[in-house]
Amino acid sequence: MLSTLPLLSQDYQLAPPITGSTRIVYKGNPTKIGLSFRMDGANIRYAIDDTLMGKSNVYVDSIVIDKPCTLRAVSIHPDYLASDPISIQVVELKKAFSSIIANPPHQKYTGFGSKTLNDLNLGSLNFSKDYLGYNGEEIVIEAQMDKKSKIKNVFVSALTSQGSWIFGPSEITVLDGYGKEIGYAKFQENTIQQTSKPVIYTIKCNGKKYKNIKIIIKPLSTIPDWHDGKGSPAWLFVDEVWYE
Amino acid sequence: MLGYSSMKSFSMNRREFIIDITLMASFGSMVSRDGQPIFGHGDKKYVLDKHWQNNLHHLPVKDCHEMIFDPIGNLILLTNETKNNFIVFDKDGKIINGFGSSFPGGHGLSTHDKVLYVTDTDLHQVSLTKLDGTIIKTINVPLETSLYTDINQFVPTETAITKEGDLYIADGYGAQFITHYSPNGDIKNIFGGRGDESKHLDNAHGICVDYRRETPTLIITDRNRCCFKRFSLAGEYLETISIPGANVCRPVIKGDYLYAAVLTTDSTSNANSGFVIILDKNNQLVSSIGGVKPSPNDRNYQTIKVFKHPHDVAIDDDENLYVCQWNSSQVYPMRFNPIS
Repeated sequence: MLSTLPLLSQDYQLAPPITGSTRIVYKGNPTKIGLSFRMDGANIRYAIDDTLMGKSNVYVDSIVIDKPCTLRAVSIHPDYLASDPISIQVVELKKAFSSIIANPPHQKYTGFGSKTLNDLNLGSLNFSKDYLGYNGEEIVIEAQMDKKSKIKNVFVSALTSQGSWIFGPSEITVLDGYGKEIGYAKFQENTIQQTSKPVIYTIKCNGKKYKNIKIIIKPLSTIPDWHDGKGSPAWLFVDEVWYE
Repeated sequence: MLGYSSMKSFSMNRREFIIDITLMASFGSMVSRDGQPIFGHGDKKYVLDKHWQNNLHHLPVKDCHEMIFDPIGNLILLTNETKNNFIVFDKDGKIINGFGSSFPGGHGLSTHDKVLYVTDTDLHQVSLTKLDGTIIKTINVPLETSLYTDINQFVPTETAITKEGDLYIADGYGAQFITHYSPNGDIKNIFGGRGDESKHLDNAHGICVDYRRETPTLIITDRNRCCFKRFSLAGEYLETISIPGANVCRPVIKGDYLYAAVLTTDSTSNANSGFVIILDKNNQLVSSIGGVKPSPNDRNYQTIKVFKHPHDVAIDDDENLYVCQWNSSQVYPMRFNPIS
């Protein structure tokens, strides 16, 4: 084995800038995104959505965001290789449920209880916090609104991290207070290989007014054959639920 | 300008080289005149020694978990590669020995009185060996404390030994207890454990005896809470030394300073984000190798990708800093030379 130690500073890459969360929700008012990279001579550059990094802005102070977008940022320094970009997803949370009760998750992944699902805090790839985790079980959520409200769409944020046996849902059903279906969506894509990331699933509903609804999130029946865990129960991790 | 074409040219110009990069460091530059990066901050700045261990090697490694020095100053590396659990490097980085096949989960390595103390997370044991790896004694799960009922609850990650020979075993991947043995092997105390109080631990990955103050104390890693905790030798909690954002491994004390590898930034699932920290006698962060410029109470994180997952550090009598890594493409330890 021959060591190949880097020789010059240009052989070393910078780490990406640091931010509080790589997934941010805002509700009504614009949100601010703060970035940090404390290194003498270094700067942060950022771009929004499809803007090329070549046309990026130098980060000076918090960035105010007032629309859903993806913000990318890199660390740069004249003596070092620029960092890989950090990507921050900004999501507009239209309406939050006034209360949410979910069936108990697996004892290892209890988050902050049912309120995890409407705390305006989205999880990252680190599934040890901010998520409720279920192993092979469907998630049944009783959600309530302050007053009767039109339900056009329900949104469910869930993690895909197949290397950790965590798969997105197979299907999501929305029921009214009497058990009648008002929305349904199937997610066939979660049976094939996916990159690890949190995903927001949209379930189109009938747009009528309701005070209470029930959301049933089903995991894959078992882990698919192409995966090392084939035949075992799939984990399902959910971090936030809201509606429009 | 200095050349690096051979070890000979390096050693001939070493003094000139050190003056060169010291001057650059004093002007606040991050890079020496010949383009070599300067790592660290304040009085603890380093350059990577490109010549140390930069030669052909035939001994394999998996995770390079921990290092200590033998009585004549050779560096002993512990890896969980059972073809050669121990690899010995001389001061020039040349491998002079490789031995041992008994530790599939070789993790913690300490030494006292020419004995190696090896924790094995797969075997759920602590073994005492001679310097050639011959096992002298094995310590198993301390069932007699009544705090354990099963061998699998005991996953020891580190040991610390006082000058008098008292042994402390940190169960960092298990039940989080610290078991204290007398020099003759009797259990004197057990403390720590899981929980939310200050006296509790969450990933008690490392432990050392701190002799920097008049009364010696223990410094114990609480990695999942990004801090070290100081305890008396009798197991009383004394204080928390918080390093926000840093998943610290074992504390290593040399002179007035505490050095530690930081496996990852923020959470152990944050891959390839490690760095190395140095604290002064007052537990103030003074330098970070590959990490952010120290700032009291601010979050710490990786800035330069010098490391993937640094797991342990060692410091020799010339203040050279050695870093070994877990899950980092089977790399050997790296050596950094001080420039101030």
